[in-house]
Formats: sequence, structure tokens, C-alpha cells
Amino acid sequence: MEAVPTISHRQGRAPEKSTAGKAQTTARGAHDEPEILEGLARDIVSRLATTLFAEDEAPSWRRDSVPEEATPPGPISAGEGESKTPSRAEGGEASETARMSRRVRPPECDRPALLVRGTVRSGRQVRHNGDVVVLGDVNPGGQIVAAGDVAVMGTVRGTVHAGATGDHSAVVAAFRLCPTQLRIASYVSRPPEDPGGHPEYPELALVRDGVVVVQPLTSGSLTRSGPDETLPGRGGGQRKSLIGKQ
Amino acid sequence: MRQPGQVIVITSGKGGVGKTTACANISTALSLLGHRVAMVDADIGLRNLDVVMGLENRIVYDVVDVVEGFCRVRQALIKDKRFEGLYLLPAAQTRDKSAVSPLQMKSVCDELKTDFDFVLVDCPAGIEQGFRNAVAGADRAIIITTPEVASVRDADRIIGLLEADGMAEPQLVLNRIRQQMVRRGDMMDTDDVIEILAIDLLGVVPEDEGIIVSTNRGEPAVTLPGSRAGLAFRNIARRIRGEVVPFMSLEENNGLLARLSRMVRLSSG
Repeated sequence: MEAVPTISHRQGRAPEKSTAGKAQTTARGAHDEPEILEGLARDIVSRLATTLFAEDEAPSWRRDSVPEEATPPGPISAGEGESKTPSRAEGGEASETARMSRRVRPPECDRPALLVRGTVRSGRQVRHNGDVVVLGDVNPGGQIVAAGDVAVMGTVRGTVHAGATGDHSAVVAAFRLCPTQLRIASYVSRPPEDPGGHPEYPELALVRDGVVVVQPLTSGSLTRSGPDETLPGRGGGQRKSLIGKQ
Repeated sequence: MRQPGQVIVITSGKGGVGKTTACANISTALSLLGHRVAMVDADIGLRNLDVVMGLENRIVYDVVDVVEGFCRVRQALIKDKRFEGLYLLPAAQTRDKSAVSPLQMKSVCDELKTDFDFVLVDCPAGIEQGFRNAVAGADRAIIITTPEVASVRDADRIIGLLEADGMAEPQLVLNRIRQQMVRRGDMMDTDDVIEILAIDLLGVVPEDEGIIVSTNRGEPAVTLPGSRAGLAFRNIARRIRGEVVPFMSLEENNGLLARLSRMVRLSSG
């Protein structure tokens, strides 16, 4: 079933054993799943490195002070309820709902999310083939590597890699986003050198137009200003509001 | 064909005496003198050199990735944009010293030698595998010690291990000396330390509050004009190149009034 080579095939090395058990947290899944995840995460970054890092730099992300097209919460929650089932409707509304359903990930396609209680301290790596939620901080030197989204209910000061298996629609959300480095799929970015420092409000990081963008996290952020998605048969980036279409 | 560079390991035995600070500052000073310098952080699991140099945001690959074959040395090296010719090969934070073997470190250092004038390896504290890894590829060693009994004791052990390994005689950097305490007799002076360790003195660095500020900010002290420790490290870099540089005055307060009052005290005491 595995079309993806595991680390054990790389240079004839034995698969990596997690010797410092406490230092790494991996979810129980396929027995060599963590190795797949780590191998893939590194492959993606290396493919990027040969091109982008000719100048040896992780570019800084673009901070948008206002999320595009912020909308009131009411009608959106109705829309979200609808989008939980994969849409089979025709016409313009179908594409809109399809986009939203892609963001919300229909339950039957879901991998279980990993919830981490407490702070991820320096030197600890949390790897998971799915979404990760942290109830706590991520300290400098701590690492989250997730195939899906990452949500941190705390301050991120370490490194976070969302969409580590190649999903560039993955997002990173945190109460306070001050990471050493932030990666989404093969996009690597670091904080801009703003004299003001990091904002005190929750932020959301995603990839838009080929760059990592960080914007305030509002209730409308995920459904309104979704990451790059090209819908077949439609130009990407159209963000029509569902309000008023009832 | 470029002449191969020297690999210098900065070690001490004792922790917290200033190896990382010395490595960062000496490397920066050498690069300011026009050399191509690569710093290697051998403290796997407790990496600090990247923080002290202000380069932690730029780390994508580390020495463990290189050794495990995930990337080439070139990809892991971080070019410091502030200093021409200065590069850093960071350590891994999520692994530990067992992730790399002495032979692997030696091969990394051998590869770096071909492209750099100086390769400075920041050795971790201790005498176990971390130390073994760091010295494996080194041509010479610089011992860092503070003028304290415990530190000198550990440095002596390290010198013994290096001598047993057959390494060329190491040189000493005496760090964080406080001349006022030396005068009061509360702190060992340079001669006391040399008497026990019996190796050549490369330099003496005075205690300097500014070091804490500089390491927190990620700006090496050698770039700060008023820093006395920075001046000491710059002199050390020049001596490494072979220049003869007189030792700087360690007097903490060197204004005219202070010098006069010292003269008065000396003549009356």
C-alpha cells in the first residue's frame, strides 16, 4: 500500500528508533507512519532548498493587518453546517460550498487530530499525520510537524510545520504567533523584522499567491480568505459572499 | 587550488565558561579580517550558537541532517548576511549527542576545510560523546577557562585528554577576569592559572556586562565599539592569524583619575 519510501530505504539505514521516548510524541497509526511523515517533511523542504535557498535565506512572511473581506459571523455558521456534507448541488453555489467543504474536511476523510496538553518544550518534536492542537505554548526549540493544520491555544515561539506532507492549503493558528520559523508544505518563512514586535492578538498563517501570509484570526478568517485553491472550471481567488443568497 | 583551512575546536570541560560566546566572537572577528570562516555547533540537543549569532530564524537543516544524508553541507550552512565570509552549520535541537559519531563529524570538518580558511567548532561541556565528536575533526584546540578553581580543574582534565589524543598543544583563553577581584586577592590571576595548566596564553578577556546584552540580541560583541570583551576577542583573532598583539590593559576603570588614584595607592601601600 505504501507508495512512499520510508526512511529505511534511504541509504540502507535502519528505520529511526525513537530512543528518547519523551522527546518525541507521535500518534499511534500505521507502525512506520512517523517515519513516513518525517521523511516526507524533509523531502519537501529539501526540494525547496535547492531552488529558494540559493541565497540561503528563509524569507520573512507578509503580515496583513486586516483580513480580507471580514464578515459578520451569523450567516457563516449556517453555511458551515451545510458544508459538512460534500456538496452535490449544481451551479455557482456548488463551487462555493465545495470550497468550504474542502476547508472543513468532510468527516469520512478525516485523520484523527492529535491534542497535546501542556507546553511543548525545547527539544521536543510533535509529529502527526493529521491536524494538531496544542493546549499550551510551543517554546523555542520545540517543533510541531503536522500533515494537516496546526492550532496552538497559546504562544508559538518554536517552529511549526503544517501541511508537512505537501498540503499547501494547511494553516497555522495561534493565540500569539511568534515562531522562530513557520513552514506550510514547502513554504518556509520567518517573522518580519518589525520594530513593533509581534501583535498581541490571535493570528492565522496561510499560503496565498505563493507566499506565506499572516493575518488576524477572526471568526470569518478561514471561510472568507481561504488559502490558494483553484477550482476546476473557475478562476481561483473568487470570494463571493454567501450572505444574501438565501 | 585553495590551501586547506584549519579546524579549531573551542573546548573547556566546564560548562558556562564562555565557549559559545568565544566561538561566535572569534569567528566574527576572523571574518571581519577578511577570512572565510565556518562555525560548527557541536552541542547537539542544546544548541546555542545559532541564538548567540542571531541566526536561529534561518535554520532549515542542521548537522544531523547532513550526517544522515538528508542534505548536503552546502544546504545546511547558513550565510550570515552581516559578515562577509561567515557561515554557520547549526546543531539539531530535537536530537542528542548520540545522533552523530566522531567519524561523521570528522568527515564534515574535512569537507568544510576545503572551502574555508578557518572552521571553528563549538564543543559542548563534558568529556563524553559530545566532546569526542567535537574534537574528532580538529587540528588544534583553544581551551576556555575562567579564573576559578573548578573551571581550571576541568580545563586541566581536558588538556590531559587532548594530549593523550595526540593533538597539538592547545592554547588558553582566560575568560571573565575581574581585575578588581584579582587585586583584592579574591580571584586567581593569569599567572596562577598558567602555573597549573602550563600551556601558551592566547588571550585574556575581561568580565563585561555587555556580553549578556550581545548574546541575548544575537549581535556579537566584536561589532560593538565600546565593548572591552569585544576588543579582547578581536585581539585573539589577530593572534590566531599569527600577528603579535600586545595584551590589553585589564584595568576596569582606565580613566585618568582612576589611574592616578591607583598610583597613589601603590606608592602608599
